[in-house]
Amino acid sequence: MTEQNEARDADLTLVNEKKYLSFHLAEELYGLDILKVREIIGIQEVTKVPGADAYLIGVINLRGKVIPVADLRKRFGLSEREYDVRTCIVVVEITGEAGPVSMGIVVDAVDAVVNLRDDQVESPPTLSMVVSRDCIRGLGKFDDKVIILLDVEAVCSSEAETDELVDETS
Amino acid sequence: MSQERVGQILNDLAADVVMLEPGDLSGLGLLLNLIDELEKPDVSGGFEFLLPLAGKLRDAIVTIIYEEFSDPEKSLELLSGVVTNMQETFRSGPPANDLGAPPSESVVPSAESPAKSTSKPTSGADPVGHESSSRLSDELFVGVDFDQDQDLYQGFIAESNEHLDTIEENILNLEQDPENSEILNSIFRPFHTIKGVSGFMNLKQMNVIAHHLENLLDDARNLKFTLDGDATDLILDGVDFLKKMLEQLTVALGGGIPEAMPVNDFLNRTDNQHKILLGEGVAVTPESSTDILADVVDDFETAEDEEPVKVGEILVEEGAISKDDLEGALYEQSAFALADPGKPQKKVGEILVENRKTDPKTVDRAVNKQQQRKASGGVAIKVDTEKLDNLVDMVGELVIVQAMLRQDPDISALGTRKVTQNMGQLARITSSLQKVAMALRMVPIKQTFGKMIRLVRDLAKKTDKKIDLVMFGEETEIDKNMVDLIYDPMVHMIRNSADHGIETPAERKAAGKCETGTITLKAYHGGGNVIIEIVDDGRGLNVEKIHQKAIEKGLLIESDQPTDQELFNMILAPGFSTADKITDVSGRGVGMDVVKKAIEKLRGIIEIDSTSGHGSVVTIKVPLTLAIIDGMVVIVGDERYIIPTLNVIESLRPLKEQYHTVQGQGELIKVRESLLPLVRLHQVFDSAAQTVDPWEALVVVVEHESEKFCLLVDELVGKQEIVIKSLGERLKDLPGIAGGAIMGDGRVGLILDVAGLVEK
Repeated sequence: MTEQNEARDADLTLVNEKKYLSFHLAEELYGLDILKVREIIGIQEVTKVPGADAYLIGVINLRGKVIPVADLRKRFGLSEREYDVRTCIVVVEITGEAGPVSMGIVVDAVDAVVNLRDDQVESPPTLSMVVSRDCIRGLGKFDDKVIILLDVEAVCSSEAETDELVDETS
Repeated sequence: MSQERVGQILNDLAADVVMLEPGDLSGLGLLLNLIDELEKPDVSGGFEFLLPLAGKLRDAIVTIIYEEFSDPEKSLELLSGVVTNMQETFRSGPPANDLGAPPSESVVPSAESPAKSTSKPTSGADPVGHESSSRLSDELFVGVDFDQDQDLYQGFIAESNEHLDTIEENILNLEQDPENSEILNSIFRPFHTIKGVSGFMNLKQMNVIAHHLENLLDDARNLKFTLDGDATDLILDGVDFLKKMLEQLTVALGGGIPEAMPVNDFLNRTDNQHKILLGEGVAVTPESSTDILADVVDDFETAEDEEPVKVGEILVEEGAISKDDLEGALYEQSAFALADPGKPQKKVGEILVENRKTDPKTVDRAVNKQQQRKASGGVAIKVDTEKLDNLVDMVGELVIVQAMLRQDPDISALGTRKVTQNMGQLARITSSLQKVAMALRMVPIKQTFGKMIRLVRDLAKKTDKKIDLVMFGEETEIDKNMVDLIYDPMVHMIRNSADHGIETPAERKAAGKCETGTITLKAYHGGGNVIIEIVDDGRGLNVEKIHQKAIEKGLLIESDQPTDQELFNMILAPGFSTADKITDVSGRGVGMDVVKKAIEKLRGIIEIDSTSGHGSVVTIKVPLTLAIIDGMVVIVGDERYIIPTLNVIESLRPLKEQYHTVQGQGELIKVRESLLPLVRLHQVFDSAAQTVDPWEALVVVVEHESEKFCLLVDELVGKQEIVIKSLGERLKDLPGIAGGAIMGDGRVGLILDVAGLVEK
């Protein structure tokens, strides 16, 4: 028992462990660095903003602040589907020009918070994927599942930049 | 040998002072021991010039030990100032020209020092009170370590600038009322603080300058001369000089190299002026020149003197004494002070008791009351604006939720008295909370007005005119951001009034007016706006000339019959005036379009009116805050948009006959004889419109920079006040969208940017 504990402690000191929020999108499981996640709210009515990037579906009122909302399915060019009761907006905080800014990300459903050690995370495959490679930080493996870890800053960057990225990967 | 020992003691002193905390009696004891050590003849041999300072230091420490000094923190600062000064004096050697005292007498001060320092410095020698041939360097802040205590220096800069502004404002007030000792004190105190703190912060040059100016004021306070004209100029120069030094300090803090400033020149000039003011040959006090803080003890006294409400006034308020009694006592007090200026002033309370006007108990109560007021009055804290904005956001949400609750059918269905009562209470509290939250950002316009006093004074001087500035409504509150933004336009307009509006005294006399011109500044609230009027009683605008010029510039054609009002506002047109300067009347146009633009940017309006020979009135109307606008809510497709009311001319449902299509120009709507282009908002914003034919929908006629056009919308919801919210940096530069607003139902509505639509 004690030995086990010690072994685990030793493990902890050697290997970095990080927490990720996992969520479903289309058929895949994705993960976001939990430190970037501010809160999770239910889907609500979004005000369309004409002229914005297509994947930015509009703005919502988050307790008196207006924040933009991105639809990940649109962002990654996946087939669209109706929002349902499990559809959520994950509010993340990303670095803006003048300090941190909040942004909402629409996902199919939130799953859990998972712990991943560095050695459970592999660098993303070079092969083309649906998601442009620059948005992926790595692939996490646990309990026979694969979780695609997203780089939230890249996900929320403007579409013009990612178009180039898509070109490269395809 | 002795030098080392003295140096050692001074270092110990410095270290101990730094460690000292308020109420630390044993620490103070240690300091006293060190001073004893220093004062031993075998130690201080050859360093007698330090002894007066040591004496002062001892007195100061004793004061702290025995009398509970009102501000312990500050007293410690002062101690450390004295010690620093001693160290400097020690390093720089004996004063080169110990004023009035030949070197051979250097022992005398040491013998005298305890006796002298217990009382206020008496009248006598050095007129200006300080080493005139100073050893100050013109290079600023040599040897000051800015890396440490960055924050401290930043704070000092901000605070000192505030102090200097206060001084500036008050000294100009004093000019109107030179005998008012209250105002004089309010100028004296900030200098005193700057002096104290700069000494503590090792900013020697600032310290000395502030000290010289303080001395000047002190003499004015002691009625040695009246502070007016030249003396005021001198103090204002000093303020400017210190401000420049603060600028250099900012440079130095940023890692730059501060420019040298003519510190010594300035000091010499000040001293000479000071001597002239005193009148040559007047006998004045011998005050040992080296001790910058010769008046440490004085410091304690002035600090205690700061009485916001006079005891006597409280007594009168309470009806314990009559006003006459008080005046009698005050008279006695000043007579007493004149007869024996060396002695500390008697308190009004004492005199009143002596004269049996009241009893000690009552006076005691009044003093207590005074202390309470001191504690409660005017306490302010600085708060990060972001926190304020957050609060306002939250309150906005609360209002929405409250409205939702009230309209909730389930809750209404309950119908019990208690629920209704509680909901009413909630509504009341929320709405007052909202008012309070909005008011937090509001500040009186006074600070902007205050700066104008100096401006007008300088302008009058420069142009050799006599100008009075009269102000009304300084208490009018306006958004903090707005206060800063209206400053420049106001300066511009006032400069115009002083420069071109007000005539020279001779001209005024010839015109049968009072030689002194008057500029009146007024501020008041009106219809959700702040209205600022700048009125002068000068010569007014020359309608003929403006008319002529407008035709020259092609703004009017010969046949036009503009009203005077229209003509006056023409001087605001871009490029109207810049060409040839009409000295006679309307050199006034210079850069007026810039003013107009600035005001329009604030969503404000500027208007000019004038009567030839009687002056002009400039009216600036700006919203109370930049954060709130009046908007017209419209529906396009299934989205709501808000059109700023400022842009809206009218809204109408056009008849089929009013609708025209013109080859190459698209769709047009004829509104009262003019054809205006039609913009289909749903096309611009790519949404499905409910109606396609303009005669079945509505059009809103909007205007931007006198360009009018019609916006096709589906529905008009109504007019509403809305709080503007940014959409964040990802969505900030979208054409046609100025921002977002949270609507009554908690959803976001988008605010249209009419200027952006024009470009589209």
